[in-house]
Amino acid sequence: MRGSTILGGVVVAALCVGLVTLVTPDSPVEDDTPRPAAQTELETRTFEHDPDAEAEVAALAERGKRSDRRKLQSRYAAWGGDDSKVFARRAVIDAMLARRFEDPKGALADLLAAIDADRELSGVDDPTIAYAATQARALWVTPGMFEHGRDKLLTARTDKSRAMLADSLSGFAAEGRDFVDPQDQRTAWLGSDLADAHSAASDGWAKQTIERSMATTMGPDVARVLADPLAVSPDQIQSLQDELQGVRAAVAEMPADDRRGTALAGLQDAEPDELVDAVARPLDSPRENPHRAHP
Amino acid sequence: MDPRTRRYLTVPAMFAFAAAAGLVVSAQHADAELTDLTQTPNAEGAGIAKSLEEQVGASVGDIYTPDSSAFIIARDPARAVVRGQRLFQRKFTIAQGFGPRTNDGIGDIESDASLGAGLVDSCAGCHGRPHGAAGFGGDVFTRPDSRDAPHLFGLGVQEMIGDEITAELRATRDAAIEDAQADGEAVTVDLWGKSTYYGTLTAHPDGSVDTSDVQGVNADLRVRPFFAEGSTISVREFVVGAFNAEMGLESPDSLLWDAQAGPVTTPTGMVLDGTVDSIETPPAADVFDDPDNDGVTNEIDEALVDYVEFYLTNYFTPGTHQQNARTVLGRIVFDAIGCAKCHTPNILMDVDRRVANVDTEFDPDNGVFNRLFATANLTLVVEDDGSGFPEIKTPAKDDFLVRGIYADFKRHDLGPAFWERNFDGTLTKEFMTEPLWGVGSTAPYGHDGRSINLDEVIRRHGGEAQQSANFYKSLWWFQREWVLAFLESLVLFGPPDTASNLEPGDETNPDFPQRGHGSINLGVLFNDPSDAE
Repeated sequence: MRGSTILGGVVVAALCVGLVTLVTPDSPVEDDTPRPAAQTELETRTFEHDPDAEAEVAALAERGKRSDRRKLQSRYAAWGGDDSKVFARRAVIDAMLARRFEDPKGALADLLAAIDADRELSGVDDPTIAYAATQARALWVTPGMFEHGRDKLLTARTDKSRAMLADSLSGFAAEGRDFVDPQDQRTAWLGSDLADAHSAASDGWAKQTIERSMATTMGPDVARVLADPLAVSPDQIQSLQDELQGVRAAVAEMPADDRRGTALAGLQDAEPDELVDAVARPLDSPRENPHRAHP
Repeated sequence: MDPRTRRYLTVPAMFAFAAAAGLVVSAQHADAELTDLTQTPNAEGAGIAKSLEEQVGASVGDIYTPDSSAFIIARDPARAVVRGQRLFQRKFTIAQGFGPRTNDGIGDIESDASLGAGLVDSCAGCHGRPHGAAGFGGDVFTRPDSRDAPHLFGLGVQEMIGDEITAELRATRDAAIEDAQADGEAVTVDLWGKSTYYGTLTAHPDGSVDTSDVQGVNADLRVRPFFAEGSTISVREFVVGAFNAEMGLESPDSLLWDAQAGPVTTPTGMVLDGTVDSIETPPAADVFDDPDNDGVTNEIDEALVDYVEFYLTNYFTPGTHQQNARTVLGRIVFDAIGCAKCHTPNILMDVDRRVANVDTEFDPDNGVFNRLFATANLTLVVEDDGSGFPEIKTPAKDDFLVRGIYADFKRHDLGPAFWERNFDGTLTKEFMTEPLWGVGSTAPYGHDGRSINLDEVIRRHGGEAQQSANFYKSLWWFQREWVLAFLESLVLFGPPDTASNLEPGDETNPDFPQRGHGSINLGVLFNDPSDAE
């Protein structure tokens, strides 16, 4: 094999790896995605207790019958938006999850039913969703329940439960404790599910929450693609140009005959401005495509 | 304990029982097409263990007739699946009724496309790739531009989803008629089945319906998942039809005959009703009928239809190869450019009539060939009926999230590059959305196999998919690579070559990997694993 052919292969491989890794992290990295402002405000707010409501929750939880759990779900929904009931609503979440040892699927179903029952309060205004996501991590300790949670993420009935599950599953996986993930396959599967869940979500807050979950799971670059799938950032364009310059230098050393008819010829001939134009070429509002434009 | 107590049986429980009893047999390595050992004995013992007569056994019978299909399906479902698999692989002989071609291949092909089908001596002859699978393969002259044989992974799931969507659409129609009659004025409703939109329907007070705005399904609202144009409802009709048209094997299947007059339930729980739907008729009128005049009658006993239907209904769903950031990015872009509008990723099935689900995924630690490992999960309810026979094992019929099917069960017009010529000079313009599971293994592409790779078949999309195809072509090349990486990770696999929790790989086997590579060996789940199929 001639040396130039080898060089060509190396150049192409380097280019491919370089470009792909522009947005393809090797492993999950720290989440640097800005949180929605409203969410940040919620998390820093303080709430007052309502002892009567909390006592009622405690009593219903103590009895623990199915009818009591239904009452708890109703209370959770009815108290939505009442700042004095935030602690009581959190107690409802705790009560639902208390059954996780005897019946984890049932506990999850109860929790989702409570969240879905609250149709009035939007997710961005609900300070218990993030709490539920954190507490629900305790459900995912077995591989079977983690898979079950992924199923529920894809079949979620509301954006609030969808976002809660995305946050909870990704948080659990990122913790690493009790999360067995040979060959990173379960992480990647969760990433794929988050993409599906993001597509299913209609609420901006839910989409942002899922993007944060994606950042936690697959890294911020993948999350950026999720948020704006067809955009290529100026940084990426600059990186592409840098890569291309490197390739050009290497290709220039190759005999022309070896380049002819190969992708290398095109790369050599491309002008930087043409490259930028190609990358930044506006599409016909792809996110307004008829993906969910059913009548 | 009440002998009729119902309980769920798990794979480990059944496997442990078989192992404890010393009954675990080595994998029966099964290639794509097989002869049987009574016909072609050999030192390796390669082939089907039972003769055709033994496979027929006591014919259909009932759940109290040992060695009948009704008995085996009810009490030994893993055996029923494997028997169906062996029949799928069996190379039929002329003495068993194989052939001739439809009217020896002479006649009016405009009205009978099977004249162009030719003959193959086994189902696996056309559906045999990858190795040992009910996969894809042949290309037949049933259309002027030919048709490729699709893979049959997940066939039962497709039947069930199609049937559930049909029920949903018809319920919407019936409710609209009721409302129109109650209100005394026309009612127009949106037609949704699962997450797919099928247009609108207008019901009138006189009970009539205007279906002119129905999209992607016939006016009868029956989703027909099988064949590219969407023409067949059930696995059973597909089986009986293919035995006849492609193999010259005529079944007098009484069940399909009975379905012409009213509802019948097949052994897999599919309800066929000729008073509501057009149900295909079997080629032979009864067990004495010999339409092809080859001197053989009852060429495919009804019990054999039962087994093959049971096998294909329970056949594994496709697998997934390595998932990574590139495949996830591809999944995101796939959705962003509108592919998922028709290639719906996941569908929740309300009632799963299968007896097991098998997940086959990338697992280099446990996989051997292709680094794939399969995990079987039985979805059975077990009941002792007090008859003294083995317990009855029936599907649990839970709901089931079908992941990664990428189909909407609707016909679409993909533009002139996909249109298909018919022998009568007409064009077929609408085709069912092809489920993309397994697509990474099944080149060439398109119903006619005209597209040589995934990139080309995407570019070939037009018509309703023109905008998505344009988006795809407008992508920066690495974004297209992500989409292709994602699609290429959707794979098929050979069950006899895929290590599983039923038979893991064993590298200590001195003959590894010819032996000890593991397989999806359902034989360990038989009531009597020593009785090979």
